[in-house]
Amino acid sequence: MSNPFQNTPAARLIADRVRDLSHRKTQAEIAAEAGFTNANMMSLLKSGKNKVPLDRVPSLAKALEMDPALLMRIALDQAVGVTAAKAITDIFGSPVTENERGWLTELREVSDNTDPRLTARSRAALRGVFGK
Amino acid sequence: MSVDIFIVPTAPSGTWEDLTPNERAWIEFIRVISNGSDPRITPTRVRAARGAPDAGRGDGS
Repeated sequence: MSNPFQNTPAARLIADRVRDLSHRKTQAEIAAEAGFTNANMMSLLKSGKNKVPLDRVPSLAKALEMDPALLMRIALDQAVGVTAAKAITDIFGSPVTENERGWLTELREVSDNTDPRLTARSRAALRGVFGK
Repeated sequence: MSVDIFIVPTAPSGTWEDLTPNERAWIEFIRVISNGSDPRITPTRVRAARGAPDAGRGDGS
């Protein structure tokens, strides 16, 4: 059986979250909590055999204890492809995570709401913050 | 977080469309450099990031 979604960001992120939660929840428990009847669903998602069903993103994000906006964004890329996902988010807007909302708040505070541009020097400063 | 109704989280000022082009650029850049990992806000990161907006003012670099 092929793994058409192997190593997609969604498959990798789900694998990371399952591993991070493994001391508290089994994969079967996460699958049940997300509303999947197939107890092996998390294995299928991690390996990339199956893509994330978009209608399950809210419950799956809750079961994985992660932000639903982040999971929706990468699940959308996986479900319809990056180009189509970009077209969707261009029209409907990109889901903003709680963390991103927080970063925006910080940005507004430290800039006194001056709406600063993202310049080359700003980019360099951010790379320093996020270590890349 | 509700599991019954899907609600797209919104930015503090409203929806994504309500963000300024500059704010969208900041968020999109953070997504790129963090490799989509949705970095948490920590005191260390906030202290380190404080200079970033100031560095962006002025000469249009």
